[in-house]
Amino acid sequence: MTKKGKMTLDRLEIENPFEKVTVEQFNDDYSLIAYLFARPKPAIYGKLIGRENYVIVGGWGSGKTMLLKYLALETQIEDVGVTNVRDADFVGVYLKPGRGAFKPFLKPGGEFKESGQILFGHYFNLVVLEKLILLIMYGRDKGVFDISTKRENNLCEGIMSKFSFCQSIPSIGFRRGKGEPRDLPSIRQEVVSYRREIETFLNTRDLESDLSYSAKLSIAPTDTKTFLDEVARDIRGSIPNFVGKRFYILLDECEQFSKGQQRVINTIIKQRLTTLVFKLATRPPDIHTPETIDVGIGLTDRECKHLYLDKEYTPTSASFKELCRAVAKKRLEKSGYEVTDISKILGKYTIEEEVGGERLVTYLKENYPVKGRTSDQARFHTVLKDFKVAAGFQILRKTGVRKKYAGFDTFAMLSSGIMVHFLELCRNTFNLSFGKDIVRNKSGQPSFRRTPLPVETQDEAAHSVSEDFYREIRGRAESLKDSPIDMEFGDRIQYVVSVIGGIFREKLMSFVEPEAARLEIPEGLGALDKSANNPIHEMFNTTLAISVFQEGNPYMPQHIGGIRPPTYILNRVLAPYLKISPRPRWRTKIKADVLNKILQVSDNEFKSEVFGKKRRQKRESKEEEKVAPVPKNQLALPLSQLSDTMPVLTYLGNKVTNQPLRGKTLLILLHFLRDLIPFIEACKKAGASPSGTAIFYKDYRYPNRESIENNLTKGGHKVYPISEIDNALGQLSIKEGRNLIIIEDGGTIVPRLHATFRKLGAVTLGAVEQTTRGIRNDRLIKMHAFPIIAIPGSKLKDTFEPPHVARAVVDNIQRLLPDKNFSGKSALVVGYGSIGEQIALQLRDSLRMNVSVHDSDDAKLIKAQQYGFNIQANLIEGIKGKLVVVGATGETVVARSEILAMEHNVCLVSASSEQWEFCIPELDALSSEKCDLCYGTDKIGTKYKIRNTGREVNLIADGYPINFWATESMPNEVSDLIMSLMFVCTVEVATSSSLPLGINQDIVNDLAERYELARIYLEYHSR
Amino acid sequence: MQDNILKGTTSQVSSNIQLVEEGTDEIFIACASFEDRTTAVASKLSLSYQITTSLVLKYDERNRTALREQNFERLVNTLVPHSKNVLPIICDHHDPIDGISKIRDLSKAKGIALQGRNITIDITTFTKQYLLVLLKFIEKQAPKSIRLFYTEPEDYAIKWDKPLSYGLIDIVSIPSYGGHFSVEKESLLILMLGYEGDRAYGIWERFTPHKTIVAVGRPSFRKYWEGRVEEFNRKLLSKLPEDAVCYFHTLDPFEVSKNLDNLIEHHSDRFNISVSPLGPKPQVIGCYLSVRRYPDVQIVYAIPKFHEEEYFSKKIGRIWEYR
Repeated sequence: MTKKGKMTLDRLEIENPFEKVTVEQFNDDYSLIAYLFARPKPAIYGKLIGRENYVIVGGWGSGKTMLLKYLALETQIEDVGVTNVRDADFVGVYLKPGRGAFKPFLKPGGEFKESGQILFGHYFNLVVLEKLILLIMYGRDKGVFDISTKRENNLCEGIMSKFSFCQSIPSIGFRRGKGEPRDLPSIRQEVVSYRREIETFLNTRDLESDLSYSAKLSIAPTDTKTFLDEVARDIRGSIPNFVGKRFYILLDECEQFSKGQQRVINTIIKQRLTTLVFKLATRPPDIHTPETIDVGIGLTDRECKHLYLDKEYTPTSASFKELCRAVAKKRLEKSGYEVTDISKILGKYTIEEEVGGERLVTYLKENYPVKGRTSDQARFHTVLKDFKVAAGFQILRKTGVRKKYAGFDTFAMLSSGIMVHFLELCRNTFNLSFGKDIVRNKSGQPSFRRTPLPVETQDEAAHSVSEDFYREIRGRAESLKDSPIDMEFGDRIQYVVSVIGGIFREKLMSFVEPEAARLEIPEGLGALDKSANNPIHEMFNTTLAISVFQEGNPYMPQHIGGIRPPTYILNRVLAPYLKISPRPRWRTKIKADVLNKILQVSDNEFKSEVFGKKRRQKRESKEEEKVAPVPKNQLALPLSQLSDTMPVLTYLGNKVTNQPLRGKTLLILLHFLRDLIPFIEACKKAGASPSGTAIFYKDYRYPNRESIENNLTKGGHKVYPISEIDNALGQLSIKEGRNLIIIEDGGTIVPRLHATFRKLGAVTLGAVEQTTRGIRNDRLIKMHAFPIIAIPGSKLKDTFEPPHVARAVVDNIQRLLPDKNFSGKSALVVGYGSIGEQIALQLRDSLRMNVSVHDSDDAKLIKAQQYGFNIQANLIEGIKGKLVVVGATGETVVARSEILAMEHNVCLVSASSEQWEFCIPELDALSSEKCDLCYGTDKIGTKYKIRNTGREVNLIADGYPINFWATESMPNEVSDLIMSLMFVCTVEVATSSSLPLGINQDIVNDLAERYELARIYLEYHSR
Repeated sequence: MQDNILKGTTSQVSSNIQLVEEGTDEIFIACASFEDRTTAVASKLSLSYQITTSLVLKYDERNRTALREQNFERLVNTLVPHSKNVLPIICDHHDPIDGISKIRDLSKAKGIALQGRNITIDITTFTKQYLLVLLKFIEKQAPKSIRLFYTEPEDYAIKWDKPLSYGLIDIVSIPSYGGHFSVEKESLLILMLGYEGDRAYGIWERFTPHKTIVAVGRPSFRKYWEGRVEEFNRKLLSKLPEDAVCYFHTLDPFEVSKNLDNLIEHHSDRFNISVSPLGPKPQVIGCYLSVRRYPDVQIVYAIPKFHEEEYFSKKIGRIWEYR
């Protein structure tokens, strides 16, 4: 794409007719608004053009502004022409008032002072009057109004006489022009100058104590309530073809007014002035400012009616689809497209096409409790109609295939009655189609290579719109004024949406009323928690305002009578993202107190409340399992449940389509920790076969190696110790074509495939390397035979992992040396990389040690100094006098000279792979004797006695990385993210044909972003 | 309105801070906050910096940490050797009028005349609202000169994966910066972006302006901060056309003011202009300098519910002087 919304093809740009989705993007291009406006159904249009005052209530994107702007005189002239406007019985005056300077004029607590109300009354009248004058001038120029010079003079005199608040109090301070205004432009200048006078007063008032201005206005005789009516009468009297016309005051975004301002406007409306009709647009009430009230509050139905746009259009109704077609047609015509029927362009995509008709029928017959209905063809037809969509979802979920959203009917449904959504869906579809399925034909007209557009394209567009909407929930919620809770408001709203989406997703898997995405709160919204620490009520109201939830009609099945509360339907555009059906057929009834709890507590507790006994029993039995004592050397958690501890990885395993690892041979060398099992499971879901997977383990003292090995072997995987790696590689059969994938930690296999086992290297698709040490090894290879994706250095790994690794290191130091008092003692960290830095911080902050840092890189030393550490440029000097020396370089830097400089009883700790950090051959050579270092009966390392010095050196964990010494290092919740990163890199190796040979680092950040790992991780783990 | 209020000089403070005019009394104004930077400028005052009056503002609010209180005491103690009177002013965090009224009343009560005096303000830890209203108030008192100091932090909360602020209370036009509204003009929103992407997005959503211009700060305080603003505002930037982005200086308010003046002049015929400074304080000063020349422009501000206090900013970086 060259520019947004356009695709260059043959040097001619094709415009995306759906690029502009909100009316604000039209920039008051009235002719465009007029052209693109599609008349809504008569029930709405009739109310708009009628003579009654209306408050038009609608959430974001419901079309309020478009409706009001259409009625404005400027648009009407473009739409129906001058003659018809002249004959019309209204003149639309569109106003979107700015926020202005009035906010500071409120008392603490937000109440409008009485003097402020009067001031605002004058101000509001002046704003409307200025617009009226401008409109008359505009209409005159366009030929709508005839007004002679004499009549114009009379009109000006009449308006000036209304300004009695300045005439009778000459010292009011208004700046007056020279002489009396005689024509419309000069009267407009007067009005502007009066208004600016008030604004200037407001802008300076608070810095001075003089309030005499407002006091003078408050005693002025002008009646702010009827001022506009009197002016309007003067106008009618002056303009002959104005007889019988009314001014329609079209006020947009009235929720921006404060309570006091709304009260002033309501007071004017209450007069039921015969010359003016008010059409006010606002978002749903009771949710905005701390003090504000609904624009229409205080007005009776006789004074002002309500039009609820959200309820007017149901997404499946013929009228909404008709509106979508009409809107799209205009846009496509304007952009010169060959085909202008959007329903043809998007086509129809049914669940039968997606899943297979026969498969659906079979599934329904097997699973749905139809009780004899299956023998009755007609009745089964009803079952098919009712449940086929849900059955389709269930089949797809069980087979791990993503539901596709495509087709005109689907897009209309996803739009949720909000035109902006429909336009966004079309926009994204077109953007993805440019150059492939949308091209220019021979006559230069944009045309379609095929219609309907591919399902995959439409589906991708739907998912992107859905995800965008979900992501924007936070910002939209924050943009509303009322935020009384003590944390990020938008985050809580997103949480509400994701929890309730999760409920609907669960229900979709049941066989009774599966599409129950209609939320009913029997006691009503009012019963939701309003407390400051659990403001469910405010959050819910906000979801209505930002169109995340829409209020639907009460759920009224035939067999249930009585009065029922309204239901709330999640904006259907969220269906792809939340993986729920966009059809809210049945209801999910959740009591207010349960909803209060579930939006505060974890999902598990809620599910046991809502789904009843079965689930509760299952949970109880799980807890019983947990309570039973765990035999030594067995995993605390059964292997089958390990995937639950790594939900991101599990999710990705389910999400990946088309089994990318099928037919591939995997060579895996990773730590034999509990997080390995979910990783292997994810690979299996992605198509890897156990017989085609060889897994190697290092000689570390993994606490659960045997159990893991047994589990993998039973699953059909081949498991080898690292000592047998050459044998195993030698026995590997070489299949035709590249199909080998390496996933490793430490750069062991990849160098071998470039040296001893080159034939295997030639059939390798690529490798994924976990560690910096491994990358160093790989960099030594002169010419790489395949791509290697390097995870170290990626943003996610470098920011997320080091603190946890460091914590594991420091925790294990304490665990293995529980009787040591570290406080106040000295430590040296060798290597101030991302992990070394964290280790230094934790040694200082957790163990209260005096920490020195050595690094060969001076820049890192400067950084360490900035953080308050002692820096040691010379390692030998730095090692002297230290109780603990931690190596975090990934290389051997502590050798003979350093060993000889060490303090008696020093503890050497490695934080990197293998036994790299400390030169163990030198230790052996310098020692007169060595023995096991134990705590009780557990070996924790090796003690070396340095000959001729009497000093002893303790090599903790035998120089292996201490975080793996008889412990799981990091919790699975932490390694969930890193293993997920490895998994997506593995999938990339399997599927990408464009990875360059050699080491690739940047791709990792791209993949993390593409798969939204951080966001998904937060979603699963942040509560 | 004085034209000599800030002459246009930006310099980095390298040595101890002296009086504006040797031997002439001046007034020092600062604000205590939870940041380490609170006392940076006060600590840099030279021994010969001897004045009669210092005003120290402290916002009265429920604090999540005691940092503000501790820094307030530290600041007062640091000023005591330099200032005969160190006058504390406890004021409402979200109502700058309250603070200004108290300054005004205190000045009257103590007989402190601001007119004709040199005023030195450490702007570092004032909220943007307060800073703008304070500058307008001070200017109205016709001082002899105004000198401003600003201290960079070593880094911000985002380094530790924390947001700078949480939630939004309201989006308001700053008192005395309401601007003037023309009914026939469209609305233009100029957002000077910072690290609080959701706050910027919220303002933009709220305003639904006809046109938006976003200003990204360049150069960043630190080389490795380049790209942060774009990253944190990615959601908003993805909604805007490429030509909506321009670049403002981060440390030179006079450059910022020039750029803003150009934008205002270019668009004021067609648009009601609202500006929201969400970037660093020097940009706020630039905004102030422009809006005093173009009073039709409105300045809007999104009041956060509360700031991330413990990690908002850490340590002290360079100190800048603006005259």
